[in-house]
Amino acid sequence: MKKIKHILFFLTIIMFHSCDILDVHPYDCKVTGRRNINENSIREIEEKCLAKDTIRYVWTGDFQRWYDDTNDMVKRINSLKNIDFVMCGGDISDFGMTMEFELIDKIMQNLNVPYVNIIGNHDIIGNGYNTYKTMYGDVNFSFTAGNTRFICLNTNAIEFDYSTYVPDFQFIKNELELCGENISRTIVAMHAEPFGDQFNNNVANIFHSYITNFPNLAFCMHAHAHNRKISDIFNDGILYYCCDSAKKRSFYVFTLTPDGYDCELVIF
Amino acid sequence: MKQYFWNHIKQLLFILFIFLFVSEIKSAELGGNLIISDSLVINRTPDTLVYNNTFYIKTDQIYDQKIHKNKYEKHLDKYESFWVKLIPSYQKIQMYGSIGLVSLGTGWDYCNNKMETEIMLGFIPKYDDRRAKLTFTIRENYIPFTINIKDNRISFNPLTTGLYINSILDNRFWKKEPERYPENYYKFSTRIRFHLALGQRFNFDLDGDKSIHKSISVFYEVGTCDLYMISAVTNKYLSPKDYLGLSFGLKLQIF
Repeated sequence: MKKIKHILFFLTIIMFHSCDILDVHPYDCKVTGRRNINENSIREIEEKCLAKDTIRYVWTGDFQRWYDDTNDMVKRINSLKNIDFVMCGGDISDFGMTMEFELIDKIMQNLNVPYVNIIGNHDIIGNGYNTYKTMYGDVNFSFTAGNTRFICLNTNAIEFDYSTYVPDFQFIKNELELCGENISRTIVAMHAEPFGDQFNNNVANIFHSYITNFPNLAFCMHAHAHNRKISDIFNDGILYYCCDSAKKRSFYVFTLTPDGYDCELVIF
Repeated sequence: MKQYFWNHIKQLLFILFIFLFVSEIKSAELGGNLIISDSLVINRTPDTLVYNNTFYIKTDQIYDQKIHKNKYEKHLDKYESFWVKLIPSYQKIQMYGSIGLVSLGTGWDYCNNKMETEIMLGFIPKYDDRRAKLTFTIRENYIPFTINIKDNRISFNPLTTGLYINSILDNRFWKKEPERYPENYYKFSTRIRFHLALGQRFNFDLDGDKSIHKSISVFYEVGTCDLYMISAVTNKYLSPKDYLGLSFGLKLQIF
């Protein structure tokens, strides 16, 4: 009888543990869903795009608590044809709470294609930085889709002190060395743009001139501003594409062809 | 009046007479002390004689309860009674509830046990974070109804309401944005959370011979916090399990 009582007691504990309704703390960093999402997505993307010369992908970002709009966006992306992957420009959470990360991934799992996510400033506050790193992996990462190299960087400098390198020039240097002859084009993606309120603007010019060393830098993409905008920030022909926030209900679809690229705006 | 006075004298004389000549008289069956007009106290000792509802007592059994106290003693009384009021009347252990995995607390009952104020220390394990964290909670409860079951030994509170403020004790979380941010950059605090919870409670009176506590209460609650509420109100996508949290625990009543 005593044994049965003990077993029942442990079963209840296990039941409660597996139950979603038990919340330890908004900032508990208790990741119950997927981990290393970027790494897994990148493997999928690289395999899928290996022999392709035309690549179509979505650039979006700033979901910041707009779950309904994000959900609609996922449905709209799924209705589009020939999309290879989705790139998200960060700020998937608003308060950096663990629950927000998990909810967004739950919505994004409905995508028919893999997605990668770049860290945004809202994803860092509190202990969101650790939640991001657990769920998505390193804050600076890169991948190759076809012949195009994507460099994804953490540019949220104001969130860190000088012990964290933002932007990480060492990472960029390593990437420059890694770029082989098979890379015919580079695209740099980030959350906060140079000369924005988050960027380490002391190095904005140096950053830009450094990334122009990448083989055939086509353009840059960023989010953070919440309003879609295409600007030639450094007046050198390298365009910075800023997508709308989920609330503004639009995203960009980039089509990379061997001759160039095409940018479409999709409103949902 | 004269007769009344004379009766008293007679009584006193009789008592004195008894005390002078009777040294050992066996006590009668009467419990406790007899208090006359709230100031005269008669200590019942084994040799107190009660015969035909009349007390026969010794003079050293009579003393005045209104003992004259000097300035120092009066102050000491006041000082002690102040601190005695601050002794917490219960202890609490809670699991979950968005303030930590396990929280230990202590608190005070007042307003006929309808109001409770408590402080709690919560523990958040490391999980995927850099380190484990502690949280501090100040909480106010209001329990409007009590239903007595089984000779008042068991009672049930069909509704308990609680408002609480939780602070996460970790330097990565700020009450107000650090100065490096432009003004009103995030417009909220990552450190301080406001919570609201509704629940129910069963109270069981305990036997003083077997238990060190007066009573034990088993409770559960469903609660939410400010940031969860904001997310829930502004989106249809969220289901209750996303923004509501269950918590449960024990309340151990000391007095």
